[in-house]
Amino acid sequence: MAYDFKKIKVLVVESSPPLYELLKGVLGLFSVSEDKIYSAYSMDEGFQKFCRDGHDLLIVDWLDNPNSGIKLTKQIRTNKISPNIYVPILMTAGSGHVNRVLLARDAGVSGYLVKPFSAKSLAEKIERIIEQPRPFIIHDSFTGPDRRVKQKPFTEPDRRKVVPEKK
Amino acid sequence: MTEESEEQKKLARAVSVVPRNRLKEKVGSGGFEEAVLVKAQTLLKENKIDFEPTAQIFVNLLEKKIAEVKSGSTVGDAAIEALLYPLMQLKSQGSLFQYHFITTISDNLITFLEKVSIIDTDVLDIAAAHRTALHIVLATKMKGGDSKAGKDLHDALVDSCNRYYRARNI
Repeated sequence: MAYDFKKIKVLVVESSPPLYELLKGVLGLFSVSEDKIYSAYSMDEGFQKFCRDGHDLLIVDWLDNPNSGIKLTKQIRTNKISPNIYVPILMTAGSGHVNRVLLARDAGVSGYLVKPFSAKSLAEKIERIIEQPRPFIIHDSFTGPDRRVKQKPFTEPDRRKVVPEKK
Repeated sequence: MTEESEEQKKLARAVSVVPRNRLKEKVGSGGFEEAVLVKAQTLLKENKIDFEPTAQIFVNLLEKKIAEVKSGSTVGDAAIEALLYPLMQLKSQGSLFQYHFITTISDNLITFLEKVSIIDTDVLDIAAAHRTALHIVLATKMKGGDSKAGKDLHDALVDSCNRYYRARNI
Protein backbone atom coordinates (compact mmCIF):
# COMPACT_ATOMS: atom_id res chain seq x y z
CA MET A 1 0.00 0.00 0.00
CA ALA A 2 1.23 3.52 -0.78
CA TYR A 3 0.09 7.09 -0.27
CA ASP A 4 -3.10 8.04 -2.08
CA PHE A 5 -3.03 11.70 -3.05
CA LYS A 6 -6.37 11.72 -4.90
CA LYS A 7 -8.20 13.54 -2.12
CA ILE A 8 -5.76 16.36 -1.58
CA LYS A 9 -5.61 19.81 -3.12
CA VAL A 10 -2.20 21.21 -3.97
CA LEU A 11 -1.38 24.83 -4.75
CA VAL A 12 1.78 25.43 -6.76
CA VAL A 13 2.99 29.03 -6.58
CA GLU A 14 5.56 29.28 -9.37
CA SER A 15 6.30 32.17 -11.71
CA SER A 16 7.79 29.98 -14.47
CA PRO A 17 5.07 28.36 -16.61
CA PRO A 18 7.30 25.50 -17.86
CA LEU A 19 8.25 24.64 -14.30
CA TYR A 20 4.62 24.68 -13.21
CA GLU A 21 3.78 22.28 -16.06
CA LEU A 22 6.59 19.98 -14.99
CA LEU A 23 5.54 20.00 -11.34
CA LYS A 24 1.95 19.38 -12.37
CA GLY A 25 3.06 16.35 -14.37
CA VAL A 26 5.07 14.94 -11.47
CA LEU A 27 2.26 15.54 -8.97
CA GLY A 28 -0.11 13.80 -11.38
CA LEU A 29 2.16 10.75 -11.36
CA PHE A 30 2.12 10.93 -7.56
CA SER A 31 -1.68 10.45 -7.95
CA VAL A 32 -2.81 14.03 -7.25
CA SER A 33 -5.95 14.57 -9.36
CA GLU A 34 -5.41 17.01 -12.21
CA ASP A 35 -8.40 19.11 -11.18
CA LYS A 36 -6.96 19.40 -7.67
CA ILE A 37 -3.65 20.95 -8.76
CA TYR A 38 -3.95 24.73 -8.65
CA SER A 39 -1.55 27.30 -9.98
CA ALA A 40 -0.59 30.79 -8.94
CA TYR A 41 2.12 32.91 -10.51
CA SER A 42 2.58 35.53 -7.83
CA MET A 43 2.47 36.04 -4.10
CA ASP A 44 -0.84 37.94 -4.21
CA GLU A 45 -2.52 35.41 -6.48
CA GLY A 46 -1.19 32.62 -4.27
CA PHE A 47 -2.67 34.07 -1.09
CA GLN A 48 -5.96 34.86 -2.78
CA LYS A 49 -6.36 31.31 -4.10
CA PHE A 50 -5.30 29.77 -0.79
CA CYS A 51 -7.93 31.79 1.05
CA ARG A 52 -10.53 30.75 -1.51
CA ASP A 53 -9.71 27.03 -1.84
CA GLY A 54 -7.95 26.02 1.41
CA HIS A 55 -5.41 23.63 -0.08
CA ASP A 56 -3.81 20.72 1.81
CA LEU A 57 -0.25 21.30 0.57
CA LEU A 58 1.51 24.31 -0.89
CA ILE A 59 4.61 24.20 -3.07
CA VAL A 60 5.89 27.77 -3.12
CA ASP A 61 8.80 29.07 -5.15
CA TRP A 62 11.21 31.61 -3.66
CA LEU A 63 9.85 33.99 -6.36
CA ASP A 64 11.37 37.36 -7.21
CA ASN A 65 10.48 40.89 -6.11
CA PRO A 66 12.63 40.19 -3.48
CA ASN A 67 11.63 37.20 -1.41
CA SER A 68 7.96 37.09 -2.39
CA GLY A 69 7.75 33.41 -1.48
CA ILE A 70 8.99 34.34 1.96
CA LYS A 71 6.36 37.06 2.28
CA LEU A 72 3.62 34.71 1.13
CA THR A 73 4.67 32.14 3.71
CA LYS A 74 4.59 34.73 6.49
CA GLN A 75 1.20 35.93 5.32
CA ILE A 76 -0.25 32.43 5.41
CA ARG A 77 1.21 31.85 8.87
CA THR A 78 0.11 35.11 10.45
CA ASN A 79 -2.71 36.81 8.53
CA LYS A 80 -6.03 36.65 10.41
CA ILE A 81 -7.90 35.71 7.24
CA SER A 82 -5.60 32.78 6.44
CA PRO A 83 -7.88 29.70 6.41
CA ASN A 84 -5.20 27.44 7.87
CA ILE A 85 -1.98 28.76 9.40
CA TYR A 86 -0.73 25.17 9.86
CA VAL A 87 -0.85 24.18 6.19
CA PRO A 88 2.36 22.42 5.07
CA ILE A 89 4.46 24.69 2.84
CA LEU A 90 7.31 23.25 0.80
CA MET A 91 9.53 26.03 -0.54
CA THR A 92 11.51 25.51 -3.75
CA ALA A 93 14.52 27.66 -4.53
CA GLY A 94 17.50 27.83 -6.85
CA SER A 95 19.96 28.15 -4.00
CA GLY A 96 20.73 26.01 -0.97
CA HIS A 97 22.84 28.76 0.59
CA VAL A 98 22.51 28.61 4.35
CA ASN A 99 21.32 32.24 4.59
CA ARG A 100 18.42 31.52 2.25
CA VAL A 101 17.49 28.32 4.03
CA LEU A 102 17.45 30.16 7.37
CA LEU A 103 15.30 32.94 5.92
CA ALA A 104 12.82 30.36 4.69
CA ARG A 105 12.89 28.50 7.99
CA ASP A 106 12.29 31.71 9.91
CA ALA A 107 9.37 32.58 7.63
CA GLY A 108 7.73 29.30 8.70
CA VAL A 109 8.16 26.85 5.83
CA SER A 110 7.71 23.14 6.51
CA GLY A 111 10.41 22.04 4.07
CA TYR A 112 12.96 23.42 1.57
CA LEU A 113 13.84 21.91 -1.81
CA VAL A 114 16.68 23.10 -4.01
CA LYS A 115 16.13 23.22 -7.77
CA PRO A 116 16.93 21.42 -10.00
CA PHE A 117 15.47 18.51 -8.07
CA SER A 118 14.90 14.83 -8.69
CA ALA A 119 11.60 13.01 -8.30
CA LYS A 120 13.08 11.18 -5.34
CA SER A 121 14.10 14.36 -3.52
CA LEU A 122 10.66 15.91 -4.04
CA ALA A 123 9.01 12.73 -2.76
CA GLU A 124 11.34 12.61 0.25
CA LYS A 125 10.49 16.18 1.21
CA ILE A 126 6.76 15.51 0.96
CA GLU A 127 7.09 12.24 2.88
CA ARG A 128 8.99 14.00 5.65
CA ILE A 129 6.23 16.60 5.94
CA ILE A 130 3.64 13.81 6.21
CA GLU A 131 5.49 11.49 8.58
CA GLN A 132 7.50 13.93 10.73
CA PRO A 133 5.25 16.90 11.37
CA ARG A 134 6.59 19.34 13.93
CA PRO A 135 4.65 21.20 16.59
CA PHE A 136 3.84 24.78 15.71
CA ILE A 137 5.27 27.69 17.63
CA ILE A 138 3.04 30.74 17.83
CA HIS A 139 4.64 33.93 19.03
CA ASP A 140 4.75 37.61 18.11
CA SER A 141 8.12 37.17 16.42
CA PHE A 142 7.61 33.78 14.74
CA THR A 143 4.81 31.47 13.68
CA GLY A 144 5.63 28.17 12.09
CA PRO A 145 6.97 24.67 12.60
CA ASP A 146 9.30 24.35 15.57
CA ARG A 147 12.73 25.33 14.31
CA ARG A 148 14.47 23.07 16.78
CA VAL A 149 15.27 20.04 14.68
CA LYS A 150 18.18 18.68 16.69
CA GLN A 151 17.54 17.32 20.16
CA LYS A 152 20.03 19.09 22.39
CA PRO A 153 20.12 18.98 26.18
CA PHE A 154 18.24 21.89 27.73
CA THR A 155 18.43 22.49 31.45
CA GLU A 156 16.25 25.58 31.90
CA PRO A 157 12.53 25.19 32.58
CA ASP A 158 10.52 25.05 29.32
CA ARG A 159 7.98 27.84 29.61
CA ARG A 160 6.11 27.12 26.42
CA LYS A 161 2.48 26.17 26.80
CA VAL A 162 1.73 23.09 24.70
CA VAL A 163 -1.86 22.97 23.52
CA PRO A 164 -3.77 20.94 20.93
CA GLU A 165 -5.05 22.74 17.85
CA LYS A 166 -8.35 24.51 18.44
CA LYS A 167 -11.27 22.85 16.67
CA MET B 1 14.89 35.47 43.17
CA THR B 2 15.69 37.59 40.14
CA GLU B 3 12.90 39.45 38.44
CA GLU B 4 12.02 38.34 34.94
CA SER B 5 13.30 40.72 32.30
CA GLU B 6 10.92 42.05 29.68
CA GLU B 7 12.64 39.77 27.20
CA GLN B 8 11.99 36.72 29.33
CA LYS B 9 8.35 37.74 29.78
CA LYS B 10 8.02 38.08 26.01
CA LEU B 11 9.55 34.63 25.43
CA ALA B 12 7.19 33.15 27.99
CA ARG B 13 4.23 34.08 25.76
CA ALA B 14 5.20 31.58 23.04
CA VAL B 15 2.67 28.80 22.59
CA SER B 16 3.42 25.39 21.10
CA VAL B 17 0.47 23.89 19.22
CA VAL B 18 0.21 20.31 18.02
CA PRO B 19 -1.90 20.64 14.86
CA ARG B 20 -3.88 17.78 13.36
CA ASN B 21 -1.94 16.03 10.64
CA ARG B 22 -4.65 16.62 8.04
CA LEU B 23 -2.35 15.70 5.18
CA LYS B 24 -1.63 12.27 6.61
CA GLU B 25 -5.32 11.73 7.39
CA LYS B 26 -6.05 12.19 3.69
CA VAL B 27 -3.12 10.38 2.03
CA GLY B 28 -2.71 7.47 4.46
CA SER B 29 0.53 5.52 4.90
CA GLY B 30 2.97 3.48 2.90
CA GLY B 31 5.19 6.05 1.24
CA PHE B 32 5.79 6.38 -2.49
CA GLU B 33 5.94 3.34 -4.75
CA GLU B 34 9.30 2.83 -6.42
CA ALA B 35 7.63 2.44 -9.81
CA VAL B 36 5.96 5.84 -9.40
CA LEU B 37 9.29 7.46 -8.58
CA VAL B 38 10.87 5.88 -11.64
CA LYS B 39 8.06 7.19 -13.87
CA ALA B 40 8.31 10.64 -12.33
CA GLN B 41 12.08 10.74 -12.80
CA THR B 42 11.63 9.66 -16.43
CA LEU B 43 9.21 12.55 -16.90
CA LEU B 44 11.75 14.97 -15.45
CA LYS B 45 14.49 13.55 -17.63
CA GLU B 46 12.58 13.28 -20.91
CA ASN B 47 9.88 15.95 -20.84
CA LYS B 48 9.40 17.95 -24.03
CA ILE B 49 8.15 21.12 -22.35
CA ASP B 50 9.33 24.17 -24.27
CA PHE B 51 11.74 25.99 -21.97
CA GLU B 52 13.38 28.17 -24.63
CA PRO B 53 11.05 31.19 -24.50
CA THR B 54 11.36 31.38 -20.71
CA ALA B 55 15.13 30.87 -20.86
CA GLN B 56 15.47 33.60 -23.48
CA ILE B 57 13.62 36.04 -21.23
CA PHE B 58 16.14 35.42 -18.46
CA VAL B 59 19.17 35.59 -20.76
CA ASN B 60 17.88 38.92 -22.12
CA LEU B 61 17.28 40.11 -18.58
CA LEU B 62 20.85 39.17 -17.66
CA GLU B 63 22.11 41.21 -20.61
CA LYS B 64 19.99 44.17 -19.51
CA LYS B 65 21.24 43.96 -15.93
CA ILE B 66 24.88 43.77 -17.07
CA ALA B 67 24.31 46.95 -19.11
CA GLU B 68 22.71 48.69 -16.11
CA VAL B 69 25.59 47.80 -13.85
CA LYS B 70 28.08 48.90 -16.52
CA SER B 71 26.34 52.27 -16.82
CA GLY B 72 26.43 52.76 -13.06
CA SER B 73 22.67 52.89 -12.60
CA THR B 74 22.82 49.84 -10.33
CA VAL B 75 25.68 49.59 -7.84
CA GLY B 76 26.98 47.65 -4.85
CA ASP B 77 25.01 44.72 -3.41
CA ALA B 78 22.00 45.71 -5.51
CA ALA B 79 24.13 45.16 -8.61
CA ILE B 80 25.08 41.64 -7.55
CA GLU B 81 21.46 40.84 -6.63
CA ALA B 82 20.26 42.17 -9.97
CA LEU B 83 22.62 39.85 -11.83
CA LEU B 84 21.91 36.88 -9.57
CA TYR B 85 18.15 36.85 -10.11
CA PRO B 86 18.08 35.75 -13.80
CA LEU B 87 21.05 33.46 -13.18
CA MET B 88 19.27 31.66 -10.33
CA GLN B 89 16.26 31.07 -12.55
CA LEU B 90 18.43 29.69 -15.38
CA LYS B 91 20.52 27.56 -13.05
CA SER B 92 17.54 26.08 -11.23
CA GLN B 93 15.49 25.32 -14.32
CA GLY B 94 17.93 24.60 -17.14
CA SER B 95 18.69 20.95 -16.45
CA LEU B 96 15.03 20.20 -15.63
CA PHE B 97 14.42 20.77 -19.35
CA GLN B 98 17.58 18.98 -20.49
CA TYR B 99 19.57 22.20 -20.92
CA HIS B 100 22.34 21.03 -18.60
CA PHE B 101 24.84 23.61 -19.88
CA ILE B 102 22.38 26.39 -19.02
CA THR B 103 22.50 25.12 -15.44
CA THR B 104 26.26 24.59 -15.24
CA ILE B 105 27.20 27.88 -16.95
CA SER B 106 24.76 29.86 -14.79
CA ASP B 107 25.97 28.07 -11.68
CA ASN B 108 29.56 28.93 -12.53
CA LEU B 109 28.72 32.63 -12.81
CA ILE B 110 26.67 32.55 -9.60
CA THR B 111 29.64 31.05 -7.74
CA PHE B 112 31.93 33.69 -9.26
CA LEU B 113 29.67 36.62 -8.32
CA GLU B 114 29.28 35.30 -4.79
CA LYS B 115 33.07 35.18 -4.41
CA VAL B 116 34.04 38.58 -5.79
CA SER B 117 33.73 41.52 -3.41
CA ILE B 118 33.29 44.28 -5.98
CA ILE B 119 31.98 44.41 -9.51
CA ASP B 120 34.70 45.85 -11.71
CA THR B 121 35.01 45.91 -15.49
CA ASP B 122 36.73 42.50 -15.54
CA VAL B 123 33.85 40.99 -13.57
CA LEU B 124 31.38 42.48 -16.03
CA ASP B 125 33.39 41.16 -18.97
CA ILE B 126 33.29 37.68 -17.45
CA ALA B 127 29.54 38.04 -16.85
CA ALA B 128 29.08 39.11 -20.46
CA ALA B 129 31.06 36.09 -21.67
CA HIS B 130 28.76 33.83 -19.68
CA ARG B 131 25.75 35.57 -21.15
CA THR B 132 27.10 34.99 -24.67
CA ALA B 133 27.68 31.32 -23.87
CA LEU B 134 24.11 30.97 -22.59
CA HIS B 135 22.83 32.56 -25.78
CA ILE B 136 24.88 30.11 -27.87
CA VAL B 137 23.52 27.12 -25.94
CA LEU B 138 19.95 28.28 -26.57
CA ALA B 139 20.48 29.32 -30.18
CA THR B 140 22.02 25.94 -31.06
CA LYS B 141 19.48 24.02 -28.94
CA MET B 142 22.36 22.38 -27.11
CA LYS B 143 20.45 19.92 -24.95
CA GLY B 144 22.03 17.26 -22.78
CA GLY B 145 25.43 17.44 -21.10
CA ASP B 146 27.64 15.52 -23.53
CA SER B 147 28.30 18.08 -26.24
CA LYS B 148 32.01 18.79 -26.72
CA ALA B 149 31.20 22.34 -27.75
CA GLY B 150 29.26 22.80 -24.53
CA LYS B 151 32.07 21.39 -22.42
CA ASP B 152 34.62 23.59 -24.19
CA LEU B 153 32.44 26.64 -23.56
CA HIS B 154 32.02 25.76 -19.91
CA ASP B 155 35.73 25.03 -19.42
CA ALA B 156 36.74 28.33 -21.02
CA LEU B 157 34.44 30.22 -18.66
CA VAL B 158 35.78 28.34 -15.63
CA ASP B 159 39.33 29.24 -16.77
CA SER B 160 38.43 32.91 -17.06
CA CYS B 161 37.08 32.90 -13.50
CA ASN B 162 40.16 31.08 -12.21
CA ARG B 163 42.46 33.62 -13.86
CA TYR B 164 40.50 36.38 -12.11
CA TYR B 165 40.83 34.62 -8.74
CA ARG B 166 44.58 34.13 -9.20
CA ALA B 167 45.16 37.74 -10.25
CA ARG B 168 43.40 38.97 -7.12
CA ASN B 169 44.42 36.24 -4.69
CA ILE B 170 40.86 35.13 -4.07
